[in-house]
Amino acid sequence: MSAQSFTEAELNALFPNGILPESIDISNRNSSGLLTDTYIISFVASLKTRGIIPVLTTINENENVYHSKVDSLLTGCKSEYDHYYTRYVAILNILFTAIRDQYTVNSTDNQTKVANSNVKLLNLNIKLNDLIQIMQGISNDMLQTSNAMEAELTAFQESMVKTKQKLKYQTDIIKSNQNGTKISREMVKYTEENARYTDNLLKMYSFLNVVALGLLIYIYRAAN
Amino acid sequence: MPYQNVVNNAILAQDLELSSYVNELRNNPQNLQTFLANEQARIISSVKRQKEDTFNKVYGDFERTEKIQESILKYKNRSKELSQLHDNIYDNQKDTANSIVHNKNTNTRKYEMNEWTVNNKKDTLFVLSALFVAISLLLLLTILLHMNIISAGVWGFTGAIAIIIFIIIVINRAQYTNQLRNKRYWSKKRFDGQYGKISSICPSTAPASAPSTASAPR
Repeated sequence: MSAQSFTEAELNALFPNGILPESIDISNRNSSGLLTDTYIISFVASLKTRGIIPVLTTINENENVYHSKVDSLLTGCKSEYDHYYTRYVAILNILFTAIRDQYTVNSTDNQTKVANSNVKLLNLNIKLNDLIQIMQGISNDMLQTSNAMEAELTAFQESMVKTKQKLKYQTDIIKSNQNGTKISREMVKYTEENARYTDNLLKMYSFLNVVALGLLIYIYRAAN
Repeated sequence: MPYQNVVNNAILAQDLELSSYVNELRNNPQNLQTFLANEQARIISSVKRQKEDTFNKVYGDFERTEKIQESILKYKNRSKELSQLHDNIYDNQKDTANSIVHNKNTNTRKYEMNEWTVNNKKDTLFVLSALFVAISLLLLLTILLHMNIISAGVWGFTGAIAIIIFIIIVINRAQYTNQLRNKRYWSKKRFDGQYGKISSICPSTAPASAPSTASAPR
């Protein structure tokens, strides 16, 4: 990126609707001036609450919505970084030019210029570092959310294994339909035929008994 | 230490050289400006490269994390859809499987009922044939009595025995069928737990998670 020229107001301009907070309390920084992990975690949580970072569970199933939201977040972060980075490069040029001037012509004006540029550069450097740390924090948080989905995935897999077993059992029943039902019907038919055969025998024996009884009575009477 | 002295001497020599070079440049302002401009460009370029490298690394990580999360989300969604697909297939086949099981159970029960009825008829047939044997014996005895081959006493005694045997047969069959015979399976006898219960050693035919539909076949 080549150094652009900015007016004083443009150099101090904040990025509109960016993810960086306007100011961060000094207590949230360590001795190197970097943001503490605790602050990053809480700040990322607040971004999620505000809906700036898409939350997988609330977006739920729609992967396209999720994709577009994360994309716009990424683009937003990049634009915000570019916004401060171009100013950072411009200030860096101004500072070094001022230092050079100060080296050749040692004047109060040059000293003031160096000091002012240095303060601005420091502020922009802090913003760039903050943004990078917050982006890292968002990445870490997204990875943790991915881990949290493992339980849900395991539940789906278990459910599928159970349904697969039930389907196999069901399919076995349906497959056995043709042979099983045919055999059952044949067995029923066999018992019906058997019943008819036994009925005939019963009728025959009933008839024989009547004849025998009649004959017995006839002979008994004839004997007397 | 000897090597420390060598290093110190080298640094001193470099400083002296730089100092003499700077003094030389001061005498030539044009060269000094060029030197300073070059150094400025070098330092700014180095700072920019560091910043850009850092940002590219973080941005790349962010992008990769997004891809990972998106893949997991897609995987989760596909798993969910697959699970729902399984459930749909299961629901669709449920009626068919239930109907098959129902038909199978109905046929089996019908077969059992027919078997019981046929065997009952056969038992009746046995009683009728016993009656026929008894009547035939009485008929034979009556003929023999009529021909004066046997006495009336023998006729009465033998006839009575035949009738008593027939009555015993009838009572035995009726009592066994009504009180001891299993109402479902003809060949089974009911002991009403008289000798304790025999635990089943047969393996289950249904899977551990047998569905409510198409429940374990009998």
